[in-house]
Amino acid sequence: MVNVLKRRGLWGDAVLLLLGLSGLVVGSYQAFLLTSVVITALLCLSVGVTTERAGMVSLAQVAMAGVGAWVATWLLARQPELGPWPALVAATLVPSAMAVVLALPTLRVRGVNLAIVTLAFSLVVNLFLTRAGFPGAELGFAYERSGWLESDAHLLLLCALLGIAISRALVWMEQRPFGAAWFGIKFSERAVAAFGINVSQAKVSSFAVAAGIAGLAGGLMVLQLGVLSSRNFEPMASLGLFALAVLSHARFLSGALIAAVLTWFTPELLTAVGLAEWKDIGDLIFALGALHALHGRSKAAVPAKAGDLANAGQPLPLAPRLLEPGQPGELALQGLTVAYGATKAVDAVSLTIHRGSVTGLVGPNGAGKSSLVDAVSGFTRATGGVALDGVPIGSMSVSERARLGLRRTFQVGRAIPELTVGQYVRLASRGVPDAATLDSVLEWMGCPGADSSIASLDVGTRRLVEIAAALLSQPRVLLLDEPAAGMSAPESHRLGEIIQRIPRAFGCTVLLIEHDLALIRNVCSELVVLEFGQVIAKGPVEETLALPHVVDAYIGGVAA
Amino acid sequence: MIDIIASGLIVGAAYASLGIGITLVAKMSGVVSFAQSAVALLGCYSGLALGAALAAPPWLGLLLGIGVGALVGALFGAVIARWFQGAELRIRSSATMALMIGGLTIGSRIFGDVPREAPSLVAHAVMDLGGVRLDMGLLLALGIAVLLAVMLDAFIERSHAGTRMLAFAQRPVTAELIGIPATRLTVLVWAVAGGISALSLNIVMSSTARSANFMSLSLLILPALCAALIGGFQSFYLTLAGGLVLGILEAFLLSVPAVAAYAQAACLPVILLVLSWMNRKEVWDGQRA
Amino acid sequence: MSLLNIRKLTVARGGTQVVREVSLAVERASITVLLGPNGAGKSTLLDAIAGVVVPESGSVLFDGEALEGLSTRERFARGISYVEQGRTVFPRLSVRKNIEAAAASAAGARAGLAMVLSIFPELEKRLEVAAGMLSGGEQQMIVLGRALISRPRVLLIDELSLGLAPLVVQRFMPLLTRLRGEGVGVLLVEQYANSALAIGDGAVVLAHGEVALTERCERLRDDPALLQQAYLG
Repeated sequence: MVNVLKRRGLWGDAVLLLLGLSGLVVGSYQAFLLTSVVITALLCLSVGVTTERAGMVSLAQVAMAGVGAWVATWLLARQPELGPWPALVAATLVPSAMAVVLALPTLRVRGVNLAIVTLAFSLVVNLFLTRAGFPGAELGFAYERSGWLESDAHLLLLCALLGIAISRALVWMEQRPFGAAWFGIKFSERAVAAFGINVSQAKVSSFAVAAGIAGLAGGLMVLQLGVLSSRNFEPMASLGLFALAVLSHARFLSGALIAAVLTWFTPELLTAVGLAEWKDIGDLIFALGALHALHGRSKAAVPAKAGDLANAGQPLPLAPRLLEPGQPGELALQGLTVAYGATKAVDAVSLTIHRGSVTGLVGPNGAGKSSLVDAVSGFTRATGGVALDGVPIGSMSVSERARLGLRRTFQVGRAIPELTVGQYVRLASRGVPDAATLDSVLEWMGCPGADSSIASLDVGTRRLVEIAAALLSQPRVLLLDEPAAGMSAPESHRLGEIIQRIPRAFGCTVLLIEHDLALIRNVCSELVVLEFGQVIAKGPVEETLALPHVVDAYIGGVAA
Repeated sequence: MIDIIASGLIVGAAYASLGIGITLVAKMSGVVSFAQSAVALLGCYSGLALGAALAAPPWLGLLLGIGVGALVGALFGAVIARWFQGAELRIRSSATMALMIGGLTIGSRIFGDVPREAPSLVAHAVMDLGGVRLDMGLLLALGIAVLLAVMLDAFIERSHAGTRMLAFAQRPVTAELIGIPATRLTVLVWAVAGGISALSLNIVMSSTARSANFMSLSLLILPALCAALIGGFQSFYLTLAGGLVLGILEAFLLSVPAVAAYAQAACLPVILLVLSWMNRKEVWDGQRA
Repeated sequence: MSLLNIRKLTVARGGTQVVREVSLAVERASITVLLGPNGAGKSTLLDAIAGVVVPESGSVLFDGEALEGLSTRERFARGISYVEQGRTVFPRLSVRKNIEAAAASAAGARAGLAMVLSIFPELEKRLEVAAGMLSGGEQQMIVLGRALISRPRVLLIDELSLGLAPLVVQRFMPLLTRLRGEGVGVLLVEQYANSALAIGDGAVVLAHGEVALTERCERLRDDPALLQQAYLG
């Protein structure tokens, strides 16, 4: 039973359920307190969605709760006959809509600046709540629960059930590209765009979902307390909430619960041990805890691993007919130029990457290889033409090019540590492969199973996963940016065997940037040599490498 | 009208001075300090409390406040320098949020809800300039803000230590490789910022001659951040201008009864405007592949 | 005793071992050239010597003294100067300030600037320009000049000629020869072996993080096939 809970990450939900049911046995005060705990947990979860998942520091959560509470109060005061349910729904939807509106001008705003904007927003909301007050306040309106909800224990149970529902919904979203994309954004917007995912959409959705959860929490507060004021929704509380969420990893329900329990029970605990005087010190403890957690976060290390990948020494089995391989694509570059100020990183490059080939792109450091790949995949602005199977893609965004079938991997690995291999692959391939295909491709490449968390994998394996993910999206052209960097000789040899088989097994043309000339020799059918941004040679591998001016470029003319 | 501008300038001077402190820390140690108002408050209120306890003249309370502010700043800076040296901007700035909470909690514990008043350093003197009455307090507050901008700018642009600090801010690893002491500099910068923030807050409080309790002033961080944002976290003069303009804007809003309650909300549209302008060309998260 | 002695150094980066049990020595008054294809671990090796990364195992001895546990600044104070890859100028500072920043005091800054200008007089007319705006060659001059202000005993240089035209690279070689004459031990990482081999004394070739070849430069100059094989496989 415990194993089931652990495996499916249900600890938080189980505890929450227990809490919910406990209301039926404990006294009214305790039930009331526990309800506060659950509501705060929901707020923490909401912070978790923006900050822990999408990496956007949003300090607007408490304000969103305030908006939700205001909306709920308005409905309950004006249309009491509708009962509490429409009020709760409105409390969820209105802040979500507001979040969408707020998010739009801030799409290009990141990190710290976003924190400033959301803090300002919190202030504005607080000002509004202070000035306008809550609806019905002038009449002394206070909502009183009736019917089933009247008892504190039942309200607690409702909150707990809603909490479980939300937590499950978040997990469900996480399994789908919709929610997995949030982690992607936190880690690297470039990586996510390269999957063909709309980064803006992901940001806005994260904001909206978080606001909805916060709004619901606000609505529940109305049910619990009956009457609220702007004092319940101060901007500084957002900071406190943020610290709590960071300290307790509020991405998970269990973390959010811990944070909430800490908030509400620390003063009780301090009172119980005779330190009632010091109960506001709780915030100080959280601040220290948050510092500690952030410090740990800044040191998050990739597990070091000496030696080779698991299957390095063994021969590669024949690639099974895994997917219906499509037609590999042809990439044509016409006068492609990338200029940074006066320097030309890529200088009028014209070449064709032939259909179904594995073409190597080599050249000394600083020759412009990465700039070329960036330009072709859309990350850098360039002049000149890029055409995929005759279709000009030069003016398309990164995600549009990705959706057309042009995929790339990155020099600095971009596999997202917070996801499992399976989640990541499904995100990258936009949900395409079924479980069986996914598993067999992973196995063929020597990757660990779909359930392994990427954070536990070393760099070489993460690279393989990245490539597998790109392949499973069935691209027409795949750009590999130094995939073998840092690998030992046997590892890169095996990688080479995998790359060699890609065109036939996956119906995909490969452009391989590498420094490892032994690998290039083994794997590529054609070679392009760049120096100072220009193509100085192209053709079959052995011949091109033997050309004196190529040797010159690489070794600086030892042969001279 | 003159009155509105005058009161706007006083408040604006507070925003500007605090903003200058934030700009100093951001420009020199690469982190946006959300804790600046907490540092200022701890310093300023300590000075006032000690000054009152010792029945000392106002300037002594001011000096004590600067001292405490510098100490608290140095402590915060040490935490950032030691624990968060190589971390990304987002994590470093989040750390300052935690520091702010810690600072505010301790502060509100020590100083409680008791409102304090900063004794005026110029005894509410008023100057007559060609028929226009100028409040000395206002001149002092403005003067300090301007002086800070000028002095800091001169120090950083002209002194050798300033050059080394700038170098460190632009490339911390390389700076260490040529012998620039990272930790020491970070702590120094934070200490200076802490001291000047406490100074500015004291001056402004004394100029407005109103009393306020500890927590109510903590929200000053927002307009201060706004001012620093206008300065791009780099330019002291732009931060000064930004703070003053924001103050005047607020004062104008305050004078219109219909929107007076929302005067402080002025910073949101200003922030959004500045950010849209700054980010008009940006697309991706910093690094290149 | 060698000036700089590296013994079985293993360094990991981002989870992978990039340098595996590398041993090499740099003598006083010599130029040692470190060659090899990219990804071979050359930069990481220099990073480890300078103290930017901490090695997993092995030791670095400077004049017989182990450098373990010393920070980059402490190593700098002992006389190890590191010119990183990529022309790490302070982009928004003027050329003048870039150079002066390397001096500990204002007086030292004046003297240091004068020294650098005597080596690279072409910087004089660009003194007030922001370093980020300069050409690659000029930036390299700044970085090299800066490293010399502290009068180092060991000079680590990563990819001096990266992205620079061969003619510009030639500008720097006489400087290195002069430094050798003054007793400095230079460890020069290069991709363009040619110009480096011309002035070098010893050469070490790294491939896949391991030492593939250790030879006198004159032997490699005489027999190009040796190097070609180590590089191109």
